[in-house]
Amino acid sequence: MAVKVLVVDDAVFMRKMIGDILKKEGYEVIGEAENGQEAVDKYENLTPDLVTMDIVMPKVNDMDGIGAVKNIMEKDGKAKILMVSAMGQHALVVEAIQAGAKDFVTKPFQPSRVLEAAKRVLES
Amino acid sequence: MADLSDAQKDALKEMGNIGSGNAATALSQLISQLINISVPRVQFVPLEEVANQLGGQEKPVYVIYLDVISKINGTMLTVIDKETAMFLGKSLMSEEDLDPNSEIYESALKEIGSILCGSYLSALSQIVDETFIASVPTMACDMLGALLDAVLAEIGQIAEEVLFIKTELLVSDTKLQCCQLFLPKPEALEHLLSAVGM
Repeated sequence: MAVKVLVVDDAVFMRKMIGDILKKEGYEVIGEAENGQEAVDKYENLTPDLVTMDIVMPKVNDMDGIGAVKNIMEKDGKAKILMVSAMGQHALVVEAIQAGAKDFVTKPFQPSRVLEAAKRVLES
Repeated sequence: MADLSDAQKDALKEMGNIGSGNAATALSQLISQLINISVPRVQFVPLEEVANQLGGQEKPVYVIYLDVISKINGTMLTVIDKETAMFLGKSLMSEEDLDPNSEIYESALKEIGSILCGSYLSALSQIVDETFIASVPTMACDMLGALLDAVLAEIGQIAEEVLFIKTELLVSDTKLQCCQLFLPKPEALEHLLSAVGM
């Protein structure tokens, strides 16, 4: 059975890019979210096996990417979250990992990096 | 900024060189093509001259900008002209998404600007050993003069000149018009220089 993925990013272009990379490898993208609050809501409804989470997004209900990680991890300690960050966001990545995210990829990325990281997160 | 010594200006120029070089590398990875960069032209430019240096007040462009939040705070801008935007779009998107009025086209450009800003700041961060936090980027499309007036309005109240770095990017025979500006606040400039022993 295909691994179910929720792709979270405020940029529709990046959601499409990540989604396409994963779909080509047989993952099933079951949902997309464009902010932290929507990510939390869709995680509860869709129960994905894997979440890719943009780290810098506009806050909705005072929740950004890291806030969404904390919220999801409080509700499901076994959640598998892969952070997607730009260069120069090391401090935020550390905060996200401390909050429970399992790994990260840095933009710009090659498809192989996303797939390797996704595999690591699922095996963690 | 006009009071800076030549040595201090050289230090800032070198930071700009490294930052824009890092950004060009990131862009190369993003579009999976080799990019050659010219030697960056770095100078302090009066605010009113910035648009002229970038091709003129009426040139249609995309500007992606974000706030840099740290001890060294300021604003980072990436300016991309429309032809370059279309070239980059073709490198990243399918034909059906190549509509400049579509959401995904604008999203792709915003992401490119964000990545360029991030890679520039990442290099700067390593040089000065300071953690930078960047805000969510904002993008606007209009004539260059109008956009810069709006973005620079706040900074213009406290700075007469900006650190201007222009790098030409070449992909095969195509010259890309893409420029980055880092506008540190006056107090941030002191931190920036002291961090490199100036």
